[in-house]
Amino acid sequence: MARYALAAILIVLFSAGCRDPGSSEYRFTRFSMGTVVEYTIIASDEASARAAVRRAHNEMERVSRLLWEGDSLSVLSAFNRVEDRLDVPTEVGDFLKRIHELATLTGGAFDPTVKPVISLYDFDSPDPRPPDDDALAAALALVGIDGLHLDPDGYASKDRPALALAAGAVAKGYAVDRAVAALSDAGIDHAIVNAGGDLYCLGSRDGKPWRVGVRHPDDPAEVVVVFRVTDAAVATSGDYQQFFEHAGTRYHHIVDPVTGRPARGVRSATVVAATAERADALATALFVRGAAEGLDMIASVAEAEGLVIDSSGLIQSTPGMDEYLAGATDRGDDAE
Amino acid sequence: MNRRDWLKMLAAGAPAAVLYPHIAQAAHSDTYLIVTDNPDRVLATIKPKLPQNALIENRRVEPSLQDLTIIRNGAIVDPRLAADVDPGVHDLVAYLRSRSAPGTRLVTIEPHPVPRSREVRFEQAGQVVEYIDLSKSYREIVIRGTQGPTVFSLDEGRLRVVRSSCRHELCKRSGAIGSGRLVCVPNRLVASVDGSSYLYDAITG
Repeated sequence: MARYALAAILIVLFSAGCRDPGSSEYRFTRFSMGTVVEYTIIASDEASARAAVRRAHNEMERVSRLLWEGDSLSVLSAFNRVEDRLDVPTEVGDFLKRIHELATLTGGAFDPTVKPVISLYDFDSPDPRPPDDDALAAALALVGIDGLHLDPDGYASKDRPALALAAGAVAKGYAVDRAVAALSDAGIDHAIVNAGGDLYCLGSRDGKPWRVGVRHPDDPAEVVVVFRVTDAAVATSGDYQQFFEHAGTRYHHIVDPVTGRPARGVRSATVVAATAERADALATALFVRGAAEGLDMIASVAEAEGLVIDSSGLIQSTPGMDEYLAGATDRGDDAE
Repeated sequence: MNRRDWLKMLAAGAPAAVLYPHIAQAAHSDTYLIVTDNPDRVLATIKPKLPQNALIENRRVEPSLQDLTIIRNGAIVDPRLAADVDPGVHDLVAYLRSRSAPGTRLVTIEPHPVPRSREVRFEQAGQVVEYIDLSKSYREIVIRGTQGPTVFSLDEGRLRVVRSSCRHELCKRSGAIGSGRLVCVPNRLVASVDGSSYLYDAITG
């Protein structure tokens, strides 16, 4: 084995290609759940594309009213406030059941009950500070998905009165999935719905897979790696998405549910999965677990692949990720 | 930049580099892989010399010996032709192909996207409110959002947020862009350089 600490630099220059006649690409930006939502639609005309986006975004807003914790009137926010149980719509109950399963699947690395811990960091404060050990210990006592129950009679209940769910990100993934379904119902076969980096690629572009770039942790204008994706979701958890610096240390929002402290060792974790909801939860879990353990965990999950950029800049991925990476930068494009 | 110029530039800036020329399938594509024992130094040296339309990307590749070009003592050596390839090169290839090799970083440099139009499009709450010629320079471009004004500057084809009425000014952290978009969610503002990329259709992260 070579002794070098190696790095390789790859240069790719691209040629022009051509687009299928009779359809065009349209892009729309909207806002929902505290983030920008970008719709990329392949349609025969702008009116059709716009009508489809209207349906998709209405669906996204509907999910937001149910599940976004940034909306104090949402069902999820109401559940977070109650001390014991809440009668929830079937759709919310099903969502809670799925995130319960994801928490179990990831061994607690993804655990939405970590909300009391995240709240201590108060990222919205003008002068955020890390919590002290006593406050953390008290908050950690509230963490544990085993405290969340979904009763057959339609009630969501909690063992601990102060149990609360930080499910906003996963809810965003679910909203993306529902928006994609609405696009399909509107007759759109090829599209991307991207809600702040949680995205789903429906179909393809000119017969070739959509290309999804992973943002460089330190430079939003740079892309670190490009995937080829068809009918799958991609989500990324990064330490640059929400953070503050205190005494020279970065405190980001992806806390380890065991320690209550921001997970270390990873700059970003990306997962490709069958749904955006699942991709988001698994990306969080991958970030928390770290490269070695996390990638093994993702590799054991059906229909999911993961990629990690660690703190040293090293990129590692599950073996199956090669399928998404292969030839991702070979592409013909429209000539100007 | 053709292959000869590329090799010359690298030879000047990265004497310990090993090159991996890959002829991609598209007619005008060239792919090069550099392996170096000092990636930071190499990148710092060559980045200013790269074309303006260059983008750095990390990607895993699996090179083979026949795809390598070696620079040794300032001279280019093609291992397919050389009779005395250092056994270490074979080890190097095996090392690169090893998935668990620690300390390995693969960085791809690709052309930056060329904007399909020469305009910046400003949208507020989903409605286009302004187009600005990307080729011009403006010290201040003021766009009103839900919470107040956001001030952009445009200089040499790069747009950035100077200040914003939103609470945390997260939009400022995005820095200056020559493609893609800047977003202020509280103000429901999006500033886009249209048709942002030939290389990707969406960004995650």
